[in-house]
Amino acid sequence: MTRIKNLLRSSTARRNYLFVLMILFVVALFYKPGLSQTESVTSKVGEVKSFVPFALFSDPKYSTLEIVCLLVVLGIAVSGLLYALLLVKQVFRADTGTKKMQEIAAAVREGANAYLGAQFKRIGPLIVIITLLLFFTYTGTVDAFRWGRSGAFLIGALFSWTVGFVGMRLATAGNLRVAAAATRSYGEAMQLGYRTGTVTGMLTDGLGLLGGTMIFLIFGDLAYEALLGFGFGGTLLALFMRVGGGIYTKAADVGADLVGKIEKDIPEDDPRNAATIADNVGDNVGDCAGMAADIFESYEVTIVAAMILGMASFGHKGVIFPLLVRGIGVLGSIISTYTVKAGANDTSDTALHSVHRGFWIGSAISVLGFFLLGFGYLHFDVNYFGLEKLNELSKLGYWAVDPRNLPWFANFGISGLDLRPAWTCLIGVFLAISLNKVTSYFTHTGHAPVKSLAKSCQTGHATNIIQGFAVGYESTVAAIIVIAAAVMLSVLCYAGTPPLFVAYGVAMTGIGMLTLTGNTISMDVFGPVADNANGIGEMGYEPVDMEKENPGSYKRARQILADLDAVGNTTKAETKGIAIGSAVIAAVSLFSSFIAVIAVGSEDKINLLSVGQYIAEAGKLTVANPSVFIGFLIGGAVPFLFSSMLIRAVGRAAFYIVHECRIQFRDPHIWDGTKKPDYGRVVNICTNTAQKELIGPGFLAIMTPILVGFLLGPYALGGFLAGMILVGQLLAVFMSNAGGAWDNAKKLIEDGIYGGKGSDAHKAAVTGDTVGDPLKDTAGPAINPLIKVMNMVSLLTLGMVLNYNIFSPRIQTFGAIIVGILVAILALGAIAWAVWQSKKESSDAPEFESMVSESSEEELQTEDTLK
Amino acid sequence: MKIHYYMLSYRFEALVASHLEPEAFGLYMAVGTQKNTRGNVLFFEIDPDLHSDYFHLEDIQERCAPHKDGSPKRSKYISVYRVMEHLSLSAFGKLYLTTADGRVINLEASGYDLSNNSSGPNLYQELCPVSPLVLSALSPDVFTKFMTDPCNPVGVPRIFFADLLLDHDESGRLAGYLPYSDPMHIVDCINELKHRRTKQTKTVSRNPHIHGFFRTIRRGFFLGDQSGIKYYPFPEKRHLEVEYAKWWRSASESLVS
Repeated sequence: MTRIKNLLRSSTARRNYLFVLMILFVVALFYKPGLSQTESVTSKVGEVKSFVPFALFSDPKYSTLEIVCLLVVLGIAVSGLLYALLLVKQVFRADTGTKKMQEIAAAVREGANAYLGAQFKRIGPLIVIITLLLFFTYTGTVDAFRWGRSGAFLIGALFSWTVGFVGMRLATAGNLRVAAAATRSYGEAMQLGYRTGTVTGMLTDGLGLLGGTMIFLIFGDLAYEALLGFGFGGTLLALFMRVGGGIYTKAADVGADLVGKIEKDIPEDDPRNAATIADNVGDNVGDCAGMAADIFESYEVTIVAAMILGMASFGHKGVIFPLLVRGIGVLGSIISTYTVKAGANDTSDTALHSVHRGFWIGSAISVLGFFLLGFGYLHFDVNYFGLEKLNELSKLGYWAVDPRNLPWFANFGISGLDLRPAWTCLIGVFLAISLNKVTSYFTHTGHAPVKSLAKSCQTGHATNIIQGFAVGYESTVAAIIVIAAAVMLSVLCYAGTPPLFVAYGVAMTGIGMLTLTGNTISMDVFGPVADNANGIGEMGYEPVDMEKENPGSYKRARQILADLDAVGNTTKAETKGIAIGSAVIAAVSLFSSFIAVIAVGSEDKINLLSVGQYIAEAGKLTVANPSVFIGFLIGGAVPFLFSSMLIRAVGRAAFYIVHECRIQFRDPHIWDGTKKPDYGRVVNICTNTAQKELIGPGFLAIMTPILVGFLLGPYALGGFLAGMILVGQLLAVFMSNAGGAWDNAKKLIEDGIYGGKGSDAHKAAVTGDTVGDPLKDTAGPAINPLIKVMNMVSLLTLGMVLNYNIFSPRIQTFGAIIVGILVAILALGAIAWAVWQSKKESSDAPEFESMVSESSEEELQTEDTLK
Repeated sequence: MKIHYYMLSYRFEALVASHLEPEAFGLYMAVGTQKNTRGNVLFFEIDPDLHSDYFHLEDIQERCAPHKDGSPKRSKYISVYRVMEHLSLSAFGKLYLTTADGRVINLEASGYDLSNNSSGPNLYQELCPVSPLVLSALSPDVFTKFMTDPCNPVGVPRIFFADLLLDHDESGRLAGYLPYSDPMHIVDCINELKHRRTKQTKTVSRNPHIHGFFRTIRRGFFLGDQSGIKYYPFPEKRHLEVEYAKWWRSASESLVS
C-alpha cells in the first residue's frame, strides 16, 4: 500500500498523469466503440444511431480505392513525421560550437523547458477537468461518442502540446548549431536554421493529419463528435501556449529592453543583463511553442469544419477530400522545404528568395495535386446518392436537380465531375499568398507604410505612435478586403446552392490556405532560431580568439547571424497574417455549423438539415432581435477585454523583471564581467508570472460563451460569435501589423536613416517598438486561438444551451431553469474572478519594492562612507 | 595602493585621485555610482608623478587613503574647476573613452600629421572646457591655435575637442546614418561658411545633444594650446568591429549621449 502511495506521489507519476490518462482514453476510444456496436438504438429514417468502429472498411459506399487512399494519407502523415525525425538527426549531428556558446544555449534551453514543464503542471488539471466535463455533459445517445469526444479532446490537447514542446526543444538546440555554423558559411547556417523550423512544421503537419485521419477511420461518417473534441483540445492548448508564451516573451523582452537599453544603456543580449537569457527563452516559448501550437489548432479546426460540413453537404466524399488535400499538402511541404538552400556566400536577399521559392514550389505541387485529385475523385452520380442516402439539402447542392446547372468551371463539360472543392482550395492558397503580401506590405521596410513611420519618428515619439495607429488601422481594412474577397469567391463557386455548401466552400478555402503548414511554420520558427543564434553569437563568440585563428572570421560570422536574423524577422512577420486569416475562415465555416446545430438540435442530426430549416434559423440571427444585438455587442467587447488582460499582464511581469535586474545591476562584479548575473531569477519570475496570468484569459475565453448562451439563449450566442469574430479579426490584424510596422521602422532607422542608432528619431522609434511589442507578440496572436476556442466552446455546449438556457429553454421545467441559472452564475463568477485577478496587484509586489528600497539605501550608505 | 590621477574632461572638468586602474575607474564612473553619471565619460590618465602647487597634492596620500576595510578609494576629487589649463600638456597620458554602460578603450597620443587636413569645412565637438558644436574652415591644428589665442575674445587657455564626420550622400545632403539633431541646420551653417569667406568658424549649437557620439568621430580627438597639440587618433571601423567589438557595439548602440 505504501509502495503504491509512494508511486502515486512520485514526481514521474505527477508529471505523466496526463499521458496515462490519454492512454486510458485511447484504449477506450478503440475498446468502447467496440462494445457500442452491440447497442440497439431505435432510429428514424436517415438518422444514424448505431455505431461500428472502423465501419468504413466494410461499408459498401466506401470504395476500395477510397480506403487505400485514406491509408496512403495515413502513410503520408507518418512520412511527414519520419521526415521530421530525419531533420532532427541532421540538426543534432551539427557542430555545437565552443563551450561558452554551449553554456549559453543550455541556459536558454533549461529556461524554456522549465517554462513548459511549469505550464504543463498548471494547465494539466484543467485539461483533466474539461475532459471529464466533456465526458459527462455529452447529450447524445451513442455512448461511444462520449468516449470519443473526451478522448479526442485529450489527444488533441496533448498533440498540440507536443508540437509546441518539440518545436521549442528543437529551436533551443538549433540556435546553438546555427551560431556555430555561422562561423563557417552562410549557407550552412541558413539551411540548419530553416530545417530546425521545418521539424516543427512537419510535426504539425504529421500529427494534425494523423489525428484527423485516425479519427475518421475509427468513427467514419460519425467522426464529427470526436473531431470537435480533437479540435477543441488542440485549440485550448494553443490558447494557453499562446497566452502564456506571449506574456513570457514580451515581459522578458520589454523588461530586458527597459532596464538594459533604456535605463542602463547596454546593447541587446549583453550578458551582464540578468534578463538576457529570459529574453532568449521568451523567443522560443512565444514564437516557437506558441506559434506552432496555434497553427496546429488552425490546421485541426479547419479540417474539423471541413469534415463536418463535408458530410452534411457532399456526403463521405466531402469528408475524404479534405484529408486527401492535406496529404498532398504534406507531400508538397516535404519536397519544397527540402529545396530551401543557400550558398556559402549568399546574402539576406538570396536567402529570402530561396525561402519564398520553396513556398512557391510547395504551392505549385499542391495546386496541381488538388486538381489531379479533383479530376480523379470528385465524381458524383446517381449511385453515389443512393448509397449515401443524402437528404434534400445535399441533392440541391449540385446536380440531383439538374447536372447541367453546374457552371462550366466546375466540370469543364465532363459529366459527373464537380471541381468546386478543388477551386475553393485554390482560393485558399491565393488567400494565404495575399495575406502574406498584405502583411508584408504593411510591415516590411521596403514599403511605404513602414517608411512613413520611420519618417514620422523625425518629429518625435507622439507622431510615431499616431502614424503607427494609422498604419495598423489601414492594414485591417486591407486584410478584411482580402478575406472578404476570398469568401466571396468561395460563395460564387457555390452560387445558387444551399448555405451549407457555401460554408463547405469556405471551409475548403481554409484547408487550401493551410495546405503548406509545413512551409509556414518553417518560416515562422526560423525567425526565433536566427534571433537566438544571433544572441548566442553576441554572448558566446570570442572575437580575439576567432580572429587569431582565422582573420576576418568574427566579423563575417556576426554579419551572417545579423543577416539571418533579418531574414527570420521577415519570414516570421509574413506568417502572422496566415494564422489570423485562418482563424477567421475556420470561424466563419464553424458559424454555419453553429446555425445548422441550432436548427436540428445537435451535431449528430446535422445531415438531416433542410434548406428551409437553415434559412429559418439563420433569419433569426438578426440585430433586429434584441438578444442577438446584445450578444453581438458583448462578443465585440470580449477581444478588447482579453487584450487588456494580456497587455496588463505583460506590464506587470515587466515591472518585476525591471526591479530584479536593477537589484542585480547594483553588483559591481556583474558590471565588470567577473560575475555572471543570476539569470535563473528572471527566468523564474517570467515563468511564474506567465503561468499565473494565463488562467484568467483562459477562463474568459471558455466562460463568456457559456454565460451568454445560458443567460441570453442560442441566438444571442450566435450574435456573440459574429461580434467576436469581426472585432477579434480587426483587432488582431491591427495589433500585429501596427506592432510589426513599429518594429521595422526602428530597424529601418537602425540601418542608417534619419540619424541611425542613438539619434532622436531612433529614440522615438524605440518607443513605438516597445509599445508595439505586447500588441504584436502577445495580445494580437492570442486572439487567433481565442476566436476558435469561443467557437468550439459554443458548438460543444450548444446542445445544453438549447435545452437549459434561461431565455428560451427547450426543456421547460423548473429543474432545467435552475440548471441554466446555476451555470450562468458559475460562468459569471469565473469571469469576474478572471477580471479581478488581472487587475489585482500581485502579492509579491510589496516584497519587490522593499527589496529595491533596501538595496538603494545600502548603496547610498556605501557612497556616504566613501566620500 | 598606487594612486592614479585622472582628469575628467567630459561631461565635467575635474581632477580625481583614485586607487582604481583606468578601466575600473571608467566602469565606476559610468555605472558604479548613484550620482547620476549617465552617458559617456571621457578622461585622461595624468602622470602619476604629478607635482603641482596649484592642486595642493602634498597630503594626497592621506586624503586618498584606502578605506578602513582595506578597500580602494574609488574617487577623491582634487579640483573641479579650470583643471585642464593648470596641467602641463606633457602630463596628459592616454585618453580613455567610456561608454554609458562602462566599456572602456584607450587611445594613445601621437603626432598630428598635417597631410590629414581636409579642405572642406570641419565639424568640431568641443568637449572641454566648453562644449559647443562648431563648424570651422580651419584644420584641427589651426583651430586649436585660433581657439587658444589670447587675443581671441572668445578663446580658452587650452582646448579639448573631437573631429566629427560630415559625410554626405549622393544628393548632397548629410548622410542618413549621422545622428545629428538638426542636420538641416548643419547644412545651412556649411553654406553660410562657404559663402562668407571671412568667417572661419560658425557655432552650430551652444548646447548640443550629443547622440551616438562615438559613431560620429572622424579622425579623433585633439588636445592643445599655443604651445602644441596632442592628437589621439580614433581606430578605424574595421579595427573597432573586431579588436574592440564589445566597446564598439556598446558605443554604436547607445541611446544616451
